[in-house]
Amino acid sequence: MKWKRIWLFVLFLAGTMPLIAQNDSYAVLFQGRQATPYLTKYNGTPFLVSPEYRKGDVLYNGVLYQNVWLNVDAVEQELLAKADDSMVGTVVAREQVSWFTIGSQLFVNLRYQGYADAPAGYWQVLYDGSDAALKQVRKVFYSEPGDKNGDVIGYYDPDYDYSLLEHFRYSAQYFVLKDGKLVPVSRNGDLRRLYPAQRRAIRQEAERLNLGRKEIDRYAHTTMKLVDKGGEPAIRSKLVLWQPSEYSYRARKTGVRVLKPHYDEDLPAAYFSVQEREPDPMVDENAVLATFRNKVYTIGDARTQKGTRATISGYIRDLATGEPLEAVTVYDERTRTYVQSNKKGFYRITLPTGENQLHFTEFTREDMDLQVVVNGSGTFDVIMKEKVTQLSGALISSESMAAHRTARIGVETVSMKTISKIPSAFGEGDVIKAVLTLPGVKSVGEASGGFNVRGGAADQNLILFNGGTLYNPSHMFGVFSAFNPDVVEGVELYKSSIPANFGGRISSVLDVKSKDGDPKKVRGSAGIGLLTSRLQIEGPLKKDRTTFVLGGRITYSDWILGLLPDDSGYAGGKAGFNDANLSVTHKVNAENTLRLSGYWSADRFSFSGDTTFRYHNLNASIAWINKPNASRTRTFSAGFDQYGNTLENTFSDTEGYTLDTRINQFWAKLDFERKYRNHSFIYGLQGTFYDLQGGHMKPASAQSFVPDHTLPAEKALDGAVYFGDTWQAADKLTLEGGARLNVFAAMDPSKIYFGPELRISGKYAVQDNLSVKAGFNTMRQNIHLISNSSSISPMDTWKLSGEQIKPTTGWQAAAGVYWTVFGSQVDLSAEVYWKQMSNYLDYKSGAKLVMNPDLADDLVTTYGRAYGIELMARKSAGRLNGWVSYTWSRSLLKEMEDRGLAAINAGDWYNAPHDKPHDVKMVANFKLTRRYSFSANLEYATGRPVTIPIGYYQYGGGFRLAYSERNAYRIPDYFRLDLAINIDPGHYLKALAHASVTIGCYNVTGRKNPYSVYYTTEGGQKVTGHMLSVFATQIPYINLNILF
Amino acid sequence: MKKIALYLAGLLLTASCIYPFEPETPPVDRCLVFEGNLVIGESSTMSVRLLQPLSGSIFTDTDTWNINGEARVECTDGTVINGVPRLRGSNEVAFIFNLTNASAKEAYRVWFTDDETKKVYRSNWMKVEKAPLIERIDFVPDDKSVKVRLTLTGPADDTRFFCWTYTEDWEIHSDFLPLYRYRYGVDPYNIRGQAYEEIQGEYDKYYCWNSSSSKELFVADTRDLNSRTLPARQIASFGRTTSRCQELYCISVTAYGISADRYAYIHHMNEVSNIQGDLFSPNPSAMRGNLRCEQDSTELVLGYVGVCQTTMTRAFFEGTRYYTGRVDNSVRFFPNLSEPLEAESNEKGYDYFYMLGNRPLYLVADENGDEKMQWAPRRCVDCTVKGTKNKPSYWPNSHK
Repeated sequence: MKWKRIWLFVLFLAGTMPLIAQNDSYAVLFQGRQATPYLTKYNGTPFLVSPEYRKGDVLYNGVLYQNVWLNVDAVEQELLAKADDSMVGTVVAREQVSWFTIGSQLFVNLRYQGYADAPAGYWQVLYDGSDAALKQVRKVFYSEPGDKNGDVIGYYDPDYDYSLLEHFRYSAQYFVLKDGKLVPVSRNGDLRRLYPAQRRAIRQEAERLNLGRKEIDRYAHTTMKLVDKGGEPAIRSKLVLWQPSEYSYRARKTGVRVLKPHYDEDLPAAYFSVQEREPDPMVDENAVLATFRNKVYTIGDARTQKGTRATISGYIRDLATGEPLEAVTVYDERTRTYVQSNKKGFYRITLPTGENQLHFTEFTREDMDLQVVVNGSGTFDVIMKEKVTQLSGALISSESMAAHRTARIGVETVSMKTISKIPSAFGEGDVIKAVLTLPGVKSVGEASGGFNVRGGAADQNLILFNGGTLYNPSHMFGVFSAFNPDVVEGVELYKSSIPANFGGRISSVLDVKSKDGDPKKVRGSAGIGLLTSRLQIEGPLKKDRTTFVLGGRITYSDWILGLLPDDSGYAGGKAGFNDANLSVTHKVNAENTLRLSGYWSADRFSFSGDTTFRYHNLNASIAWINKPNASRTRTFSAGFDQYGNTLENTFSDTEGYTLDTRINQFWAKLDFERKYRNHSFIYGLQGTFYDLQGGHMKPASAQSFVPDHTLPAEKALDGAVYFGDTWQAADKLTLEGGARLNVFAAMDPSKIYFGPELRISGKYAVQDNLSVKAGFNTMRQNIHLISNSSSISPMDTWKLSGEQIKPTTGWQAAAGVYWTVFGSQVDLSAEVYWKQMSNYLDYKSGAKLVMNPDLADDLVTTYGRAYGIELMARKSAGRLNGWVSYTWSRSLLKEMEDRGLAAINAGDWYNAPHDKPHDVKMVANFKLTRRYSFSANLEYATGRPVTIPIGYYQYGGGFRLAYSERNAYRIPDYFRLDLAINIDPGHYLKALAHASVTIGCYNVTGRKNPYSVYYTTEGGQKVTGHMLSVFATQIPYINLNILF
Repeated sequence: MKKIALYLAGLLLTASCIYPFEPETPPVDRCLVFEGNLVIGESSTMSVRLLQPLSGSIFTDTDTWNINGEARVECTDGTVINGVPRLRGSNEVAFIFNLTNASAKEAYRVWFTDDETKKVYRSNWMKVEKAPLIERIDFVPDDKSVKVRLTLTGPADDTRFFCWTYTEDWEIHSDFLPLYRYRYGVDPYNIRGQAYEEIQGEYDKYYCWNSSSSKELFVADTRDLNSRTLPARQIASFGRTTSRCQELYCISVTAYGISADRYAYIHHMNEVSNIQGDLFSPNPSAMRGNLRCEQDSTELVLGYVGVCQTTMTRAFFEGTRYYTGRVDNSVRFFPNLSEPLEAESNEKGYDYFYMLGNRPLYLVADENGDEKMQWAPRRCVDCTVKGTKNKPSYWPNSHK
């Protein structure tokens, strides 16, 4: 009897021991890290259903734990367990969790069950029969603008002080386990397609139950129930330690109570609700995403780690827009090392294994201090939030303080958002017109076609579009620019510190890049204006791998001109252009990207019936970008550019002719980037082969006596090898230097020129918001535009250096002070520069520039001298933003050779055609409401120099004009004010398309700004002066832009 | 829709406009302009003029300037030919040089001494360019006009630059050929029937002549052409409804060879004086002539004096076959004194109509069948209103 009691006691102990043991072993569940402390100010919940923990069971590490307070963090896809007396849950290590239940909901860890391809996280079992339906809810934190009611508006406008609404959006993924394989399902139709034999039955049952399109959970349950063939449940029969008995299971250890799980249809309806939004897909699914501060993150796998140091790399992006953040400082407290993110937001830092404290700082972002446990090398992406400082209702944006980030001087970056807001003639966003609003950039007139930078001529600007050269950056004699604004991603203008990888022109580089395309979905935009329309479409060819951007513009001014009366003088005139862009970007793999791009444009205009001008641009390029690791980038690019002109003159059938000129160039570049400690090196090789057809004239008709003749082609090879380095020499000192060796070989007759080019600049940060810079550049140019008209004419001649024409060389020294004031809202800058040139080509009086085989005899070489000071105040953020600038500058030329009385202006210094001493510009945008904004653009400039008659005389039976010295006088000053109102679309997230309207007026004051002056001798008897104004009146316009 | 399009087009057009421009220019210094074409084997003229200020110059005192002086032509063989001055005004003087015996194988240079400033101007030595051969002058009529085309061929071993001028003479006739004259003051009311007298013989104001000369300097360059022939260059044109096409038209073209420098000068002068105004027009620039001031080489001297040989060809065109001008018969009228349309006319009778510039034509039956004298404006009856009776000596018909 006694032994029986002892045995019963032992059995009792054995029976209760596991329960007791379970009580003690429950502590295992609470030994993980704390659950994520999410910001308190948000809507929604990061948890699966609610912040409320519910009782459930979990099979963890082979042990069944019952009646545990459990919850699911749907953002992190973590199971949280909370002890009875605890306020905060802890994360239960996922790799040890087989399954768990909350209430009567069963969740499985598919990867633990051997489904290696299944997405990580926990899957709710909707139905478990011969086939099973599974669902995973994933949530993402969003910070979006919202209205007072907390509804989401749709997109983020960093310039407007919205009340930020932080909330969680969730989405659901579905799988069907069919015949042992996981099949993804996203819609009800997918379920029907999986079971074609029961399709009709499924549909009828769904109709009977009145299931909606979005009730995927219930649809899945209904479908699986219908198609259930009976037998072992697909999921539960495979779960570890499950016994395939009828609704029973037992764990490996003792103390397991038999439970009877069932599908609970009484769960709250909200539990099944689905909203259509995918989580942020930009996150590498294997990367750890750091979104919140003061949180501990674990990176890497200790099992694969070798050594005591690991490399952490990743991308840093803006919380609101997802855009990469450049120049974010990543500092490790433990090792006191720091790195900075590059243009793509990429950073890389080596850390010791173990616990580390990383600080992420950037002027315009809130600091992030992250505790990182480094188990091994891995990817660690970070999202940073914009710093909001409420100062009289103002917002700081990332565009401010831009000048302090780089050692380069005279660099301007213009965003497409800014470009679209600047009013322009006929209302279309214009890249060149936007560039003209910058200090130091001028044009000779409204129909000039080109621009002048710091006293340089129009041909001294290297205009690049995706690496290809554009020789004529305008359409319709300067009214529109060659760049479709919807295709352009960004514009950078280097006025002074030109990086060593650019060369070939001595004044500036305008680098325009097109978009890569949206990797997720197809979208586009369209615009309709008075004279032009445009369309742009972009999107994925293969999601997240291959993207495309396609854009085009057309004009329809011909039909308007055709409607004019015959005596208007313009009837039958033609003026128009077309252009098209196509680019394709393909991510071959994580290290390699292939990019193809093409551009084509064609212009034609004819106002008198007997003369027609046509010109075209053609660019095609290919680039292979290889990025083996975070510190190296190699780019191989090659392309072909063509610029051609045609003039048809049929004023006389016996003397009618067609004149063609063409520039062909083939180029190839090999560029390397290498980061090493505080250095960023660039080096590479570049080569261009020029083939210039200087002129081919042929008769316009069979009756014409003009002979068919062609000027000899000019061919040359222009190559360079370069090296550059950006060195963060000290905390406050950044130096940038480089050298470039240019070799130019003209062919037939052969002539070789070579010479070095130096690029040096430096920045010293006196304070965070005050820096000084200085720079020195030397440049060489081997291709020259020969023109005797004020603006770029379609028939201007391009000429290569050769036996008789030397390369143009020049140097520029510049210095500047940059000060950001008023709480980082206003950037003030003052830059001075001095530039000198040699062998700049000008024309002799009476020169024949077209079809002249001895053109060099009609040209002269000159010294050039340009100097000036540019003052600017810019406010980048807030409801009122923009800039105002004043430039005082001079640009002078002087013949190098002493030609006595034949020299231009007798050999004295004379004004360059683009010399305008005073230049005032203002661009302002004011956001009245979220939908309405106003834009203004003001420009005042001294009139450009001209040569005008000083007298007249009789000669040959008529009156002739005697002219002054070259450019000795000036046309009247230039002044223009443009105003526009922009009406943005209603902010409906789910609208198929959004339309915005811009209504404006170009030249509001109607000032008759002169473009040129000229004199006529009417009937050979009377001399009369005239002034030509291109836009001599107000030009109202209205533009409709559609985003879809 | 069309109205909207026209509005938009109008906006586009009015946006770009041309306005008068009269800048303030500084005072014009005394600047000489030389023009001369010294033709070997002929008497030739060289003009010296003063540069005139544009109207914007308000400080110029050119009204007090005079130009006078001495001019001579030197030849490399030592010959000096003095110019005979002919004053043409305070701002111009011309010199006649007799080069009848000059040799085309020599080189020549021009000297001028300004009496006002005592400065001396001279040119470089200039060789005589050979004259081209005028192959032919063609008249090419089309629907609306007649184009005059010149074909000339340069000498095989000489200059490829040419210049030409032309003069035009053409014959016109009045629209109506009257049969009567009006005897002014003799019988204003034609009471005695003596107001009119019948024209006896040929009406002397039916045929007249006009003349004109080229207002431009035409130059051509055959370097771009396959040969030295300048083919079918259009030099003039006139409408088929104009007076040039009414009867007989004649163009006399004088062509000569010029040097490359002279071509460049004239071409540039034409370009900066005429071809201007559009967006791509070349910028003008100053260009000096071929004379220099000995005392001040930097002084601006304009114009070109050259030495050459010339050829002249004349061609006639009978316009009557192509003339499409219409006579306006509605101008004919019957002066009526019975109804006092004008009190003055009744007081003065037919004298009144004559004083207004009308002339009688012939008797015509009016709507009632009564024969009355029809009149017409003088411009339609008297060719001397639009021309002169100066018939060129070479004219090939007997019209008077």
